Amino acid sequence: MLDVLVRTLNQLPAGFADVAGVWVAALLTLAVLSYIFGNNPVFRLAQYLFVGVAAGYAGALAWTQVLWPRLLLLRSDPETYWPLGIFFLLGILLLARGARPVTALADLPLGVLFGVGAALALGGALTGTLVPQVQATIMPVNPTLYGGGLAGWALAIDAALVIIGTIAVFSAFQYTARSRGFLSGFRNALRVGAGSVGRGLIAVSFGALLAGAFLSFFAVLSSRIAFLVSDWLPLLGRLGL
Amino acid sequence: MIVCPNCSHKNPEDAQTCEACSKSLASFEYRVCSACGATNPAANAFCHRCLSALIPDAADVGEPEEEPQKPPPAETRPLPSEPSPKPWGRIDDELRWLVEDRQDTPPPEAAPSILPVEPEEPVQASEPPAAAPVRGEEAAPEGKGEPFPPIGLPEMPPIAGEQAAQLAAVEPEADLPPEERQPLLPEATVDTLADLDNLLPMEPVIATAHRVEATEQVGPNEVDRYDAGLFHQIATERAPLRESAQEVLPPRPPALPAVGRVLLNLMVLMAALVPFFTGGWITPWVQPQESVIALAGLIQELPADTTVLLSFDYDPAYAGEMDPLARAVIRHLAARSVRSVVMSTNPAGLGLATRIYTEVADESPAYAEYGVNYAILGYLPGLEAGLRTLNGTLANAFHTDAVSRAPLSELPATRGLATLHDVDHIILLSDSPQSVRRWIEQIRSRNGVSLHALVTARAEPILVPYQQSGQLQTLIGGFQAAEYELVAGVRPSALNLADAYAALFVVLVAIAIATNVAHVLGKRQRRKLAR
Repeated sequence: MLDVLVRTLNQLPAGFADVAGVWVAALLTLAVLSYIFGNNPVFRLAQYLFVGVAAGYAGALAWTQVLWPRLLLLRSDPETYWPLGIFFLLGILLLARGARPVTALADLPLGVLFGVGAALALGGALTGTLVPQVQATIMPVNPTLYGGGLAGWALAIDAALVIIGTIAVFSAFQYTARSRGFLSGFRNALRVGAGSVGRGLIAVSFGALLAGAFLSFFAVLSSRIAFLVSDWLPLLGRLGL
Repeated sequence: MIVCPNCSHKNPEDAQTCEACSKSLASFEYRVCSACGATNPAANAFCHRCLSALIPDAADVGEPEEEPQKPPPAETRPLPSEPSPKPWGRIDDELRWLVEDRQDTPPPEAAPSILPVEPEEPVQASEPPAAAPVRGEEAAPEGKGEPFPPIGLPEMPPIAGEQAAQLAAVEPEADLPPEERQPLLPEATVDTLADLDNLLPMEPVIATAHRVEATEQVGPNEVDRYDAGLFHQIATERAPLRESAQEVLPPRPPALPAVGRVLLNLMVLMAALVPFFTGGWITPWVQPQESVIALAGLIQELPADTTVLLSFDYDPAYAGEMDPLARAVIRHLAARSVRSVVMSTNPAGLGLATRIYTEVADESPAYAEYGVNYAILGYLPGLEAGLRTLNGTLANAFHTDAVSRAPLSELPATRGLATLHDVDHIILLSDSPQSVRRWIEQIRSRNGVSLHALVTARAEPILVPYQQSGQLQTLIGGFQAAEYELVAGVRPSALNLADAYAALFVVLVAIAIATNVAHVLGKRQRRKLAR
């Protein structure tokens, strides 16, 4: 049956696949853009289609690119690639999660999955983010170290702002009781003031993130409209529409 | 039958010693009913289950040592024949009767029983139960062990007049003696205790057909209609206001938000359509950023035998933003004949990479043949764990390439590529900061290889600290594709997008100014109204 399908597709005129692809992409683009009029069945159809196709594509890719080549390796040289067999077995045990009587069998591969993932993520966060970022925050504020002059002062002020901003943002997440005792008024005022500054900086950061997201979405919109105008409308013109 | 207290053997009534163990039965505690076999205490005269006499005949039992003493008759004080003129006078008489000595009055006749009475054995409720003889016990002294004198009911005065007529309607046989009255309940034709199935004669009751009585439909009358109309009038009419009172209406929601949303959407759409009318008019005003210049200069200076690893980690949803930048960089690499090795940690990235490389292969002779100057390794699953495998040998992560399925050692583009140290630069094309952070944490922190991140506009602000700390050598946003094309001198395809971005910036600034002016003016108006 697959051969019949392949032969049929080969017999199609040249460029048919491109044209069909353009039509499908254009109709789905219009279906997604119909959300501007509110949630409607056409938009939902496109949404479900997207989810299904993405899942199917990922599954097919996982089989063709990951599992099948490794199965072939295991079959060709079991003595060298025997660890792959163990991981295949763990993967099969993972499928037991869907069957209630044997769902406990999936605990082992899940434990391996989560344990390894957590360990790698934690180790990477420590050595790749936390320590380097703390080191990068410790910056000198001496203008002469930056070459002096106006540029040196600018860089020194920039470094000071980075340090102050980092401390202020940390202060914004402090949830402790008011200080008492020696210089409690000053300490409380300092903490509250730093927290306010930190919250302001967080708001600015969120604003920048929102602006970046808006820019990304606009770029996608622009590219889709360019596709509709450049690739799809000519097809409509050929049909006489 | 008497139950032996020692071995629980059932002995006849007249047995003196147990037939089984020869123990004396003088102080037996339990007696077995001969009718139903239930075990009863020795003091019981009647079986607790079947109510039959446990000692059927005194002659069968034998002469007791003592005759049972009959309790003295209960004394009752008869009520006065005429009712007291006051309603509570009769109650006083009853209370007086209760506190006086009842020994002087004879017991009244027992009230007629409402239970079905068998003609052969009339039940006399007034007779007290006979005390069960206990062998071996001496006669109780006088005054002790006497049963409680029965409480006789006072004699009710005859009922006459209207009350009699009412009673006659309810109980037409009230004046008949008990033996002539018809039983209220149908007599049981079967001994109820012998057969539990006929315990209650349910057949006459069940056989009676249920009659549904039609209920009269009652509708509203004139009074109900009047009340309903009055209620409606009261509920709906407006309350009369005094002259000084003002009618306060709810504030009308401003029409601007809905119109403003539509207007904003239209303006954004117009900004996206601008490139079709301008054709790159923004080009002279494009100022490339320092990071773009740095990356373009870096690639420009790469020798031809350099190997660059590209990772297509962005989703097709962001292809509109990332494709132009990816295309520009790959064209630049092809122009420099730099070897590029492609992989992806996103399943859909391979398709995007294949599409772009196919386009570039048609344009550039250096990339015309697959496997010579470029190779697509494939999809690397496992997120952090997958990236960790790259720290070993590349063959561990990718046994073959994704297109020709050949081992890496057989392709010219990947020959000699054992580890990441053989790669000069890693260029990440990603739409999420988490993906870039994984590369930094798992690869950069362990190998020291230089990372260049080309990301979407929404991911760029989050990765700036990594650039400032030196963990990322380059950080470029997807909207900077036009800048890269200008600096690198490659075929322009993203300049139209720059026109759209410029138009969008103009729209956003205009909207910001308009909304702030409207807010200020609206505030003034509200203050005027408040005064």
